[in-house]
Amino acid sequence: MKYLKYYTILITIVSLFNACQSDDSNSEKDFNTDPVENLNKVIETQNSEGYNLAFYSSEKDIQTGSNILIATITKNNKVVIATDLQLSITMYMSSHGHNMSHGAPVTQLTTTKHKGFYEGFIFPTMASNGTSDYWVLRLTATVDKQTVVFESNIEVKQSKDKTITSFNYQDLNYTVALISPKTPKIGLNSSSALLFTTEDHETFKIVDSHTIHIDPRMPSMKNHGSPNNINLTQAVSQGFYTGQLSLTMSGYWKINLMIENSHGTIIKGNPITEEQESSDIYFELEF
Amino acid sequence: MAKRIRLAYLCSVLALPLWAQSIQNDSIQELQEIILISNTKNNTPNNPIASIENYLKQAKSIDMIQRGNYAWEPTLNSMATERISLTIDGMHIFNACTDKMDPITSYVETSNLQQASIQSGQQGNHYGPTLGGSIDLQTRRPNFTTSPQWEGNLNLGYETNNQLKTAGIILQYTSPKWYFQTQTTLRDAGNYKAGNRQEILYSQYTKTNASGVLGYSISPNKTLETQVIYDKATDVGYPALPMDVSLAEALITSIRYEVKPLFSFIDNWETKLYYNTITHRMDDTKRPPETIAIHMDMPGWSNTYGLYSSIKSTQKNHHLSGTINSYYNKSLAEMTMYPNNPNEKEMFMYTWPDVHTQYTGINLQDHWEIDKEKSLQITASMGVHANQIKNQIALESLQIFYPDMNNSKTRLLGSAAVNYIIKKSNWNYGVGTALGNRAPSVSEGYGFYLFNSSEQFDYIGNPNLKNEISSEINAFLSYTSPTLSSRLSGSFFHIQHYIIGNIIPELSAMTIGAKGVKQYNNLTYAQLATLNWSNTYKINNQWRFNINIRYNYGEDNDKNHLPFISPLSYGSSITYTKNKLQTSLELQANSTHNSNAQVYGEQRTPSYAILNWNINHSWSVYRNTMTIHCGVSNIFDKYYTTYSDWNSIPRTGRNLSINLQYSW
Ligand SMILES: [Cu+2]
Repeated sequence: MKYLKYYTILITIVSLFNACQSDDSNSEKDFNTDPVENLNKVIETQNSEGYNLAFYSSEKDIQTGSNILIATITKNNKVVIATDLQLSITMYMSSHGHNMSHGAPVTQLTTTKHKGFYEGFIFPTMASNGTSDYWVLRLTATVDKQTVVFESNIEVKQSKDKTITSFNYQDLNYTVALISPKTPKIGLNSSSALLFTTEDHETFKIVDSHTIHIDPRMPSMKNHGSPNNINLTQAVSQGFYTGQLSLTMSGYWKINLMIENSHGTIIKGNPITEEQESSDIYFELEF
Repeated sequence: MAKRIRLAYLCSVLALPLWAQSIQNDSIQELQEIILISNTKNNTPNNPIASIENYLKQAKSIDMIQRGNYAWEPTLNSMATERISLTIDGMHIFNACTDKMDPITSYVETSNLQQASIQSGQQGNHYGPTLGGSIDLQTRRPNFTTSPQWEGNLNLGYETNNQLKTAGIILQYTSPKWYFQTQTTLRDAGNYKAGNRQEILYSQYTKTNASGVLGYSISPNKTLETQVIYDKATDVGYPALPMDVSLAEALITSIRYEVKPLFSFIDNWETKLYYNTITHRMDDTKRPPETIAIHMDMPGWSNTYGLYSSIKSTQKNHHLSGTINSYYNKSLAEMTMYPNNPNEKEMFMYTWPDVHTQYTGINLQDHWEIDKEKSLQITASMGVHANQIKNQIALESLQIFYPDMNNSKTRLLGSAAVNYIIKKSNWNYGVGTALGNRAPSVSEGYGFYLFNSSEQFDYIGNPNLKNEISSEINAFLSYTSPTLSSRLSGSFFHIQHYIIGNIIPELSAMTIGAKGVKQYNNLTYAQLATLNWSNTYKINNQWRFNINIRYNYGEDNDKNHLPFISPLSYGSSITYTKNKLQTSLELQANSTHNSNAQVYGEQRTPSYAILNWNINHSWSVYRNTMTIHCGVSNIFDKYYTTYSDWNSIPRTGRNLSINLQYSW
């Protein structure tokens, strides 16, 4: 229920991705159209009770960083209504000789205007690697007054650009993920990101009241910077961090980051100077 | 006309007497200066090898900013391209280079020009808004003849300093009903050598210019004419700039319809429709790789459609003219940079955001001969100037700096000028005053990270600039007798909202190596002034002596010197003419440029003086004419640079030139 608070923001942001038909004036018509018509089915799994779970994305596959997904549960090809949806993803690694596992941030699935269709983000922090390092997605939900559980191995590809990064500060692990722009343009881009923290590397919480400082630079152009950025801040608690990212030209940009907490302390990152050409946390965008 | 003459063109001195021949018999022409350039019948002592720039800089108030040996940028009353009106036969043509490598004078050849008409200040508002004045290049145009006849001209030239080779041919057919003329000129030059034989790398060029004009007499008073000029320069080096040019290409076309006279009260009615297209490609591939921080392509395009229609009428002692003038220009330039890491994507930006500029205006002039002595020249014009950015990506790039900017901006422009002239026996004098404004240029309004290699700053245009408003006063005094002619003239300009770049410290340079970013802004005002004194003394029928002095001044409202303002300059020449032989010795000099614009990053340049000598002679060969021009410029091979040399690039050292011309 807590996610309802930022549901409206989410919808706004989501509409930027064309992941969902969002022209309100046509909502009646939209309601009858297939909400996943132009999307790719990226995950599909069945459980023992015969329920089928599918995730759809505007992308062809799941990549590291932010992925917005539309989920739907069907039985006998009929969409069923689900409640109490609980989503998580976990990485199981064995490639380093010993087995270990950790989670990654997700946002919980929220309802859309299409009955039986839910949307949310997953933020895999690394790519999967065959059968040695793989991600498992788990979803529990209440359907037809019973709890159903789905589990599916998912393949995560390395995204072209680095749009997710983690760091530690005072016993906590933080993850910051860029949500938009996904397809940057020359000019002022509205930008959004989420900042998570975890104590156990399994459950991730959205961090409130921080500021994500951005400083876009082009390393190939002697660290040319682009002016009139607006640092990313939250409009509401548990909501997205939003701001403005300025890009003077196409090409490879390093978005240098500094994370400032609510007390005004920089908990990670450093300002860009003549001597210090990069922050120790950054995103990358190339277009 | 104290000008530094580029030695390479010693022969331009030949035009000195030419200049003395400037037509100044009518009081209206006191206000304009005509530089004769060429004629098929070789009856003017011109030098066909000299570039157009060498002819233009003979004019009293014209100077040339040089970025190499090609395409110099003319300034008039210390004002450059954006503040003056530059036209070819009244046609507006706009350069396609964001770095001013291609002033439109570079797209014509001396051999397709008859003359240049120069008017100072607001008197030059005939074809559109200007502050500094106008330069209208007038192409050669044959006349109908009572019987069919062919004429032609062949010329070949060579200069030693940069191994310049030129060849040109003109063919002309005239008859009662038709005239036709075609011209082709080729130029090919290697690197020039500054004084002390120092080779200036990347100063070569190759240029081809071809033109054709066809006229048809519909009836005795109606003429229809079409004209095409094609100009292509390749492999042009710009030693003062970090890049060269692989291609500068122009196609200039027009159709003209002229009626004279029409009814009894209209002397002349002329209408022209025109179109021109310019392509400009910069090139950094010829430079040593270690000097190229990042390889880039920088093409630019400029296309202009236009028309004007002009009516002249005489009503008693009023000579009236009315002109409507309209053009539509599209300017687009872009930059693609190729990162040294081949896995990275290329970087792209629009440096001129596909700006469409539309101007429509009306100009009215009255030359009123009050009586035999007094006359009044009045001009007024009014126009609407509109810019629109047609490219969405480019608009959004500029919105980084101006989030609220619209894609279009309309400005109302106008000007008025009054000159009062009195002729009394040997004395002529006049005073004038004028008011006029101009809209910012495409670079000033909409440029995006345009690198100025002299100041080492990237420039950002400013769509919120106010119009520059010029208030002007001018005066002249001249004395003419059979032996002495002397003329003192001056102009003063108070320019409100003078547009110039200010450093914006918080912005980060784009160009690798740039010191920072400047944004175009309006100063409260700037003031410019020029004062010329020129004298010709006819010693006897053979000998003539000429001396000129010029003073320029330019300061902003904080008393900072403005850039590209000439220091005191002077020149002198002595000419000997006998029959068809003419020879002259010329001195060109500048004082030290102490009033360099330090605030705007301008360097001080030392004083210099150079000496040039030339001779020309013509013979009759059957009924044809053979002419030979020879000369030496910068005789003492002095190494020097002037205030108008970009990045203080030195000028040409000693140069010998020879030119042969055969006319039939
Ligand atoms: Cu250029």
